[in-house]
Amino acid sequence: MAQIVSIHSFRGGTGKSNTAANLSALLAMEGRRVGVIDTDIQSPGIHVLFGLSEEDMPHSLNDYLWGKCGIEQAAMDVTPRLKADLKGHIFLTPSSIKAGEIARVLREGYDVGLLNDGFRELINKLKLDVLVIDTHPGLNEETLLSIAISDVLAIVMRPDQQDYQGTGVTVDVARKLDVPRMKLIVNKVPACFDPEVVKAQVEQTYGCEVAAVLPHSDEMMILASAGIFVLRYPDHQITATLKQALAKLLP
Amino acid sequence: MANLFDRLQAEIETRQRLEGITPADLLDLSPELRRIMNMILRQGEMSLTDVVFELDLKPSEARELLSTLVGKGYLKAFEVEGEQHYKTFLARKRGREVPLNIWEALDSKVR
Repeated sequence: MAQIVSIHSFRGGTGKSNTAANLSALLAMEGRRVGVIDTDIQSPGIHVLFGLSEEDMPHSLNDYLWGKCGIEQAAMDVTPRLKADLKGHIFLTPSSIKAGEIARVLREGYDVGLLNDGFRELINKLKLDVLVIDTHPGLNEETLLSIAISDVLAIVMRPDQQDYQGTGVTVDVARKLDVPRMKLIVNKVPACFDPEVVKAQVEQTYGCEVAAVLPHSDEMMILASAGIFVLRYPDHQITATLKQALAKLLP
Repeated sequence: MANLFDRLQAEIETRQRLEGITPADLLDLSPELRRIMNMILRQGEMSLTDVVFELDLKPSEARELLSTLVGKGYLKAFEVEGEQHYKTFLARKRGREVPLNIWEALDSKVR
């Protein structure tokens, strides 16, 4: 049975898309067939991590929502682009990065039921083991939908006062929506912080297990979304911590 | 205390008829009704038999409850091989309500 994993954060800039891409790569390394869908229709970005530009995307999630193509046609097998020893596959369904198409979807809205059907069709047609949903930060219709249908929700936060309050809201909403498994990922933690103390404080604050405390990393900043960190730095501490996080998200 | 069926029917009957619900509407439901709506949303679709099994209701009660939810615009009903199935009727996400001239200005910039 395929698992749906949503990667969410209340605020932008937490490293949500990076986390989604890296967890997907780790899953593909294990031999799984992974779908990644960018539901951040108004500010898409995860395609950059897989090395895609506008010209590389013949179809997008927008085309599917407008009835121009099937959802599986909007999904691209990005595995060969990663030039890594992956036993599995990663299929990315990007959102359009054309300004006119973003404006159109904001102006006209879209059929949320079709988006929900699309998640299931992707799983069935591509025979996925895991579908990773990269969401728009904050709480809106597509975010609430992805939280509601998820088997696993990973909430990414930074050790920042603004993130603390927003994360509390997201945790409350996810509890109301009966998400079966919810974990927190604390990202961009300054090196001077003790990860164990951060973990304990966050778990106490939200009553929710922390799957990973990821330190701020110059290598990650320098990579600047130009690739998948765990593939570039397979022996890095962040890679090891993300592997541990994955084991907690999908035991 | 009223049984589950009576409680749910009473809640649904007081609710306004909608042209589909939004994921945000789920948060406004009672925990019992939200559990049912969440369950159907997560499954994608469910047959009457599945719902009866999951909710431990009599088939006649489940059918009446689901019919009421269809009438209120929360669910859609359809037949699969002679059996009634149900799926969540999700409302269309509305476009942003901003003055038309803003969209016109944007269109002229992005064309």
